[in-house]
Amino acid sequence: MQKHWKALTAVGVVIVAVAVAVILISRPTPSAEQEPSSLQASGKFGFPVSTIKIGEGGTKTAGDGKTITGYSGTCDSAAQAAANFAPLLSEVNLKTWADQKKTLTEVSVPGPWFEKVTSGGDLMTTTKNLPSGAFDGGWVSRSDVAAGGLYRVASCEEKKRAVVQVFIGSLNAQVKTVPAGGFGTVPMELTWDGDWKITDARQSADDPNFGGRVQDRGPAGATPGEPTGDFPVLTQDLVNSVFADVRRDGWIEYANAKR
Amino acid sequence: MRTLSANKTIRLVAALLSLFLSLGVITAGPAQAADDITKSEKLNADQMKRLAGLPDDQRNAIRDRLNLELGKTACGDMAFYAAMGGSNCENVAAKAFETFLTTPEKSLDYGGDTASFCAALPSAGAPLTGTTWCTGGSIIQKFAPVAGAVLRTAIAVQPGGQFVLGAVDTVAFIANAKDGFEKFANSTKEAGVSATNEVLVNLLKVSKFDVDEGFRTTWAIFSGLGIILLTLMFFKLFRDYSDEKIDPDSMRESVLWYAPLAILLALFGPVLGYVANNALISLTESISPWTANQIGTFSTTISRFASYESNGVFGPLAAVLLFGLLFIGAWALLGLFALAPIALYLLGVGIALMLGFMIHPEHRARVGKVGSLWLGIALSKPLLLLIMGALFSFISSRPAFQGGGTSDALVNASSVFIAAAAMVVLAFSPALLFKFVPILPSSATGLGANRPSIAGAAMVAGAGAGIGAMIRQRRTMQAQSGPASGGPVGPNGAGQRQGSPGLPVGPDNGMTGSPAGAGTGRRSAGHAGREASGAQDPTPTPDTRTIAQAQRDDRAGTPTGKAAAAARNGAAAFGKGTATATRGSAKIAAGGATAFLLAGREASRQAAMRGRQGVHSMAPDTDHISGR
Repeated sequence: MQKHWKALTAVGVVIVAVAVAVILISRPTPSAEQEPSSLQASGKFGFPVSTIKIGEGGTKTAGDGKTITGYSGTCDSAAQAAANFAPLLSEVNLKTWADQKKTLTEVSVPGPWFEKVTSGGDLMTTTKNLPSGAFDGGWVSRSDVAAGGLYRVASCEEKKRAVVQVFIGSLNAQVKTVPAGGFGTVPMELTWDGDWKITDARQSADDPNFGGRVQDRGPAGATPGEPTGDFPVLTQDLVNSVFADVRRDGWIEYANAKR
Repeated sequence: MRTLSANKTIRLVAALLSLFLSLGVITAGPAQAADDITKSEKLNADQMKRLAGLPDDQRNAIRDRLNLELGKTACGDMAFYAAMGGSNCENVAAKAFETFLTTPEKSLDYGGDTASFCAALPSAGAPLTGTTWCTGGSIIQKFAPVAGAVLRTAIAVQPGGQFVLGAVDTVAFIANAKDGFEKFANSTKEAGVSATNEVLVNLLKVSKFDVDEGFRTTWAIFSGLGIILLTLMFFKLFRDYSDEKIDPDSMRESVLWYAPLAILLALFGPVLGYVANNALISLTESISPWTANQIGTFSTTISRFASYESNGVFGPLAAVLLFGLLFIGAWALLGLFALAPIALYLLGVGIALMLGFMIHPEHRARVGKVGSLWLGIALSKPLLLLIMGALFSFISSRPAFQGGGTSDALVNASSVFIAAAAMVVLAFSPALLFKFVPILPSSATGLGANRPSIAGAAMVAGAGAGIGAMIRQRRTMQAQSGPASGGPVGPNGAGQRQGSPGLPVGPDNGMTGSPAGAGTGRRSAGHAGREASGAQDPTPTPDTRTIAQAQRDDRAGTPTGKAAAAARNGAAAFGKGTATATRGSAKIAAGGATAFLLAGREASRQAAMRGRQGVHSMAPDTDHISGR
């Protein structure tokens, strides 16, 4: 019976070998595909690219001579307005702060939000013994919308109301080094009043959802490494890092985003 | 008989193991995922693992340092610095970070959760303007996680940081290596220290075994085969019953109880395995943090070796030997842990295959043996972890590893030896475990409780006898240079001593006593041994031919038949002893090594005697060892 046992074992081993080999070889390799976007992803970093551009969309300019106004009221024009208004909400220049506030008043409807948004600039311009670090003629924080170059329309009704997030690049004054680059998201609520007017902007740290009007705070993050003093350039690694804990869907690239 | 059947199981497992390994090579590509890196420029998975293994005080120091770096980054921003009122900004910010970044991992992973930071600012002592500015959202894009060069520098200056970064800077053992051997000593030291560090850190992650979907699928295939074997076994059962080899009671037991039980086990085996394995996993998990801590401490100890330099008696030869031992110990330890899941997997499916054997009273014991072996291996991991933790904590607390260390050459050398020996002991501790903590029936493995040293003694003896026989053979051949077919007649041959009084003669080989005692002298120890074992194993052990073949090749030109016979005679002497577990290459290697040591007839004669003791008596009296 010893021999029988061996023969059976040998047969068994051969069958098992074939079976295991078939299973192991035919097992599909796990593919790490990302969930497909409903829009065609055609940008460098996989975001869809729209036809609208930063710095266009309006017919007039505000009192500062550069902020574009006079939009058509479409949702695309709301996205353009958001891009054009974003610097007003995020930049701080010690010398031109008063003018900037004035321009902001022109393109917005007053409300409690205004004071919050301008508190940072107010603080900088009123603080005595301000540390050194402001660059290029008083800049504390300067933005470059095209460096971020992404927008997300959270909600929009033509000629009524739109909530848009804009992903911008910025250069921030440092105390000890040259300015450091970073990226951030500026959300704003636009209401139609003959033109798109800002009726709320910039979430606070304890309200990342902008009062429930956007699904998350949007991508943000500083560029790693030592500050360079130049506006940041978006890379795939940076996209991965700023989008690490927020959703990618809904974000669209401006046609003239810096890539 | 029990030994032989257990041996067959081992052979089967070995065959499956080699099969599995070769398949593993094919499928290794997709399965082997690269070490995932948490984020670019951050710490990689290995470094994170090492960080996790550091002692608590070092981890806290690294966390504080990282939080301070985060605070520096935040306060580097001019606007925030101004809002915070200036000079004390960094400390206040670091304090705020500390409230929610409580571990170094959290500090490393911090990606700009400004809400928690801003909320913590007031309690950390920040001015109202700072908090307002922070919650105002102005800060949102200005927080960089600590990464890149800043991160490396921050970690590197902390105690244990160098170890985390894997930047254990190995100092050349001999500063200006002149000859090849000194260079070899240098590279041995480097390889020994770095390999030990790497291996220790990764030790706990190689040994995971899960009863998962894959195992269930494989189990299904194997138990299918097992059920086919079950039906075949029924035929044998019925035939044996009709031959009256089995009594009606056993028959009834087999058919009524064991057959349904086998089917039930085929169905519910994975479930039972899952429950048992998970119980053991939770047991292991309760132990591993403590062990990981000990490993971390031990690794710090090992890192100390990196700075050792040649000093007095601790010269290149000692370095090669000691650091080489360290290297071997580390890899053996890793191998031990790496093999456990494979063994569990294969034994598991082996059980599925063997389920059919349960119905036959003659073969039933085998299933139980494999089952208990599976349980034994599964149980050995928590036990090993405990022992490992204890051993490592003992070593780390040695005076040589405390404080600034010592420059005493012997103390340093012995500390390397202790560390290496500890790992070697651990690597071979399953054998010790089975010996001193007999959780298995003694015959389930070759490492059973009652057979402490058969294999070793028999190998030594066998090799010795083989060499002796060959020497005799050759001399006789030279002397006779004739066609004497019977081979040599050596009055001093090992075989002559076979019947000498005092040698224990086992119950199963009484027949060997008389022909040997008659003084034919022709029968070598090996031959006798083989004959004795032939009763149990009708096939001549196939792997002894390997030696014979080798010898035949070596001795091209001499009468090959004789030489081969001589070699086989010798080799067969340890056939039985080694049949317990080690065959093939281990035997050849051991035989070869021993041949050098025992070159000389006297030595071989004594060894043959010991071998016969081992071979013939099978079980030396070990009552004084096991206490039974």
